[in-house]
Amino acid sequence: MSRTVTIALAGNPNSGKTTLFNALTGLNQHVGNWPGVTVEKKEGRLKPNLKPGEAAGDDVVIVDLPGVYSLSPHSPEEVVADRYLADERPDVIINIVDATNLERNLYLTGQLAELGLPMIIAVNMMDVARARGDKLETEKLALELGCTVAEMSAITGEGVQNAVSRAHSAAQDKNADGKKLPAPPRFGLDIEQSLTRICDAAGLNDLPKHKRRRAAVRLFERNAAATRELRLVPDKQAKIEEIIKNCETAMDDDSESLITASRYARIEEIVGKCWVPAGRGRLSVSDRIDRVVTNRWLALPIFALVIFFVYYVSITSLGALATDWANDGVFGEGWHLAGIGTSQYELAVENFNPESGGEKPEPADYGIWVPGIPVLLGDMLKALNCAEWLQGLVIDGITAGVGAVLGFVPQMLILFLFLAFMESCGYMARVAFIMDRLFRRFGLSGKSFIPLLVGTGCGVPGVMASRTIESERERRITVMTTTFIPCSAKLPILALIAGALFDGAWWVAPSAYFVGVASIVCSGVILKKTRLFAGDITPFVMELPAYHWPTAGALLRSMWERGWSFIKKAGTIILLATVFVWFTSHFGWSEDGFGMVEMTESILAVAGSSISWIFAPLGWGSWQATVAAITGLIAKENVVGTFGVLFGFAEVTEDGQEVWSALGAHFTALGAYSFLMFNMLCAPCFAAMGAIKREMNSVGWFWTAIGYQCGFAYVASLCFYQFGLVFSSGRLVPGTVIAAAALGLFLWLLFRPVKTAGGLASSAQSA
Amino acid sequence: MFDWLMENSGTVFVSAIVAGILAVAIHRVYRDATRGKNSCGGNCSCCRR
Amino acid sequence: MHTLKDVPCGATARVRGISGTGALRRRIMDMGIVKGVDIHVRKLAPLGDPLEVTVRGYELSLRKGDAALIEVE
Repeated sequence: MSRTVTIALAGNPNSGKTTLFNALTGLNQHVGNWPGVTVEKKEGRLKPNLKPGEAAGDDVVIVDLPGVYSLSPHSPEEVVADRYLADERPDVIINIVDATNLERNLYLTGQLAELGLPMIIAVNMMDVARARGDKLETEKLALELGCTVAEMSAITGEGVQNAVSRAHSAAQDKNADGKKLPAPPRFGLDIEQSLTRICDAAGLNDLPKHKRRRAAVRLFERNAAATRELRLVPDKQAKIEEIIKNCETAMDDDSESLITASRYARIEEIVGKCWVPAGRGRLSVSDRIDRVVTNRWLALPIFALVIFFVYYVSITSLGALATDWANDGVFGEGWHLAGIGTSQYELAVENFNPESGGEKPEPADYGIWVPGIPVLLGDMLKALNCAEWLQGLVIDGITAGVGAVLGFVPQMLILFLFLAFMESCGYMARVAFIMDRLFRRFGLSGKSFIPLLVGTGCGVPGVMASRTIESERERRITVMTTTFIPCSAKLPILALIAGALFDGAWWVAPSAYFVGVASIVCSGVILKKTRLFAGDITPFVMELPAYHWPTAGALLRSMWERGWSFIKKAGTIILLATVFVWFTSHFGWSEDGFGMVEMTESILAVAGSSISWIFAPLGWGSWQATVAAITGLIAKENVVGTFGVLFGFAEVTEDGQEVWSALGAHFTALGAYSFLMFNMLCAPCFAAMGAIKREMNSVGWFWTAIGYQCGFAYVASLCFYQFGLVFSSGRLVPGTVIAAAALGLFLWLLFRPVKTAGGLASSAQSA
Repeated sequence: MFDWLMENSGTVFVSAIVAGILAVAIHRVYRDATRGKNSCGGNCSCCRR
Repeated sequence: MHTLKDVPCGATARVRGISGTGALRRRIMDMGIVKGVDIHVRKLAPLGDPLEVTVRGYELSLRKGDAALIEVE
């Protein structure tokens, strides 16, 4: 008979819970939201090959609870985890405990034990602990805690199967008599007495043992939800309050402190019996790395260097080589397989003089020549006798647009690889630490940095990552500014401008990144100073996990996931947008009525020209640029796709004209960078906008955010372009005055003094 | 009418393919939009905590 | 009153109590900083704040402002 067995994973953040969840479920995951809150809910099915023998027919569901340090009622993650366990009653809990961090991890364990659910402890990172020389006596720990303890190393896979089997058996035991439940921790004598008194006063003695204890403890901690749930009448509440106060006076501390201190006292006792750490005299490798990386003076320069290096390799050097192959070869005329024969061919072309007679060198004579896709398609369509307009659609439209975007896939993949490495090795946590002071000066906490980091991949999860910020005001600011950082979809624009207009200069790509960070910081300052946002800074209490070398598999998988989703996007949204652009740029009204026309007379050109004047002061008032920027609202890659269609990306010309040269001629360097700035900073793509709307949970805030972003982008590009003109040409133009005024306003907003409320007490501003 | 079909077979054939690709694309986009589309990689596992 | 904020880099102090109220206080205690535990100040961040401490065998970053809530002996 098949049933569903639900296993809940609970543990501290950074304990390896996610690694275990991925190991257990593989790709059979479903990620959503816990109802009513903005906390992520992860559920999945156990991989069939991990199912213990007796569970063969069962449906084993794994629920990954948010990483929490405790089940206190103070943050959404904790509330969600607590509610789920108390109300949904999963069949068994696997409590993941970090072996290198036992004491703090066991704090949550104690609280989990009070829930009265079958539980096993999976001590993770045993490999690290052993390498350090720490010794854990698992049997003793099991005895002290009253439940099974399994050793594990989720990252290597060791012990995972065993943990699942033990969990499954523990879940079964509840059907038999004498179910083996973990033993809730015992507190000090005074507290235990108070708890007993509370049980009497609140009439809890009819409840099953675990429920009774948990309720008593929560009441003792003055947990409002507990009082509500038990539906205690006021005079019962008063009695309980009296009991608590007596205890507090007797022990000279408040009830919350008493409980937490008592829990830790018990933990220290347990750990003392089971755990023998290796001598900590030597600095661990992590410490030594941190000495340099978070060093007071070196940290920021090192970070800057890392960013430059990452972008240089992905966009400018290695990436560019691959992209050139994609653009000129695969989507151009063609390429030699394995590069054999390319140099000889190029030499022959150089030396070829049409006047001197003889034949033009054929690339196929020099090696295995693979014709480019436009060539192949073109020949194929001609052979099929396909109508002109359809050929145009396929080659000048679809291939040009989608091809232009796909050409940047190599650069994206390399960048994704770097980002995955930095995230998983632990460097990013350090960066948040380093940036905290800098950010705090500007009104944001280091926690605002994490969405930023995530946003370098995609703005959507970046915006959602703002959920870790407790202060509502700060969260809103973060949501509004996270998309200033170049996401992976903006990279093709970056790479395109850097390549086509700045000849692959090394500073272009990283500069966009820094402009983004600067914008975020400045926005943070400005917004914090407006009445809407003034308030306090979030407390910053963050753990720094040890460095570890990520596995090649995890890196490649992450890189591939993102890369593939990028490609999929190209085949869907971008494809559709491309067709739209092609159609509207090749058709229009002429003297003969509606039909195919020159691009300058097309619907798109006409429509674009009617609004392109808005962008003239920014240095790019052409209809093509305007249209491209607008298509970018659907998906940022569309800017490249649109340019591809409008500037004949896939056109195969006789003299082998360089791809993107038409684009290069279209912009001035100054205008191009201004265009780049605008697209980097203005409102993000629809998907990201959707995320912003969801996170803001209010239409008003949503439009404020979008309006702010577009306004900021406009002003920034305006100032850049106008001042750039002044510097390069030495003349003052009317535009300069406006730009100067805008800059003046900006600086005033940035530096004006604002009265702040003192200390950590919250200000009286309404949200 | 059959003659026209034969004459423009190439066009018809290619149009059918293109239309098919576009239909798949539209369907995909629609599906993603109703599912709360996420255009990055790997779902929301990329947003830490 | 001597708080964690005043503890110099490299020194270790024993916690006497946590002042303040609400979520932040609870979070600090949940992380293991309770009366009687030893905290070792490892380093200060590049711009002086936050500080990095070792407590119960792991590393934690705390703002100076928050560290001021932690009373030490």
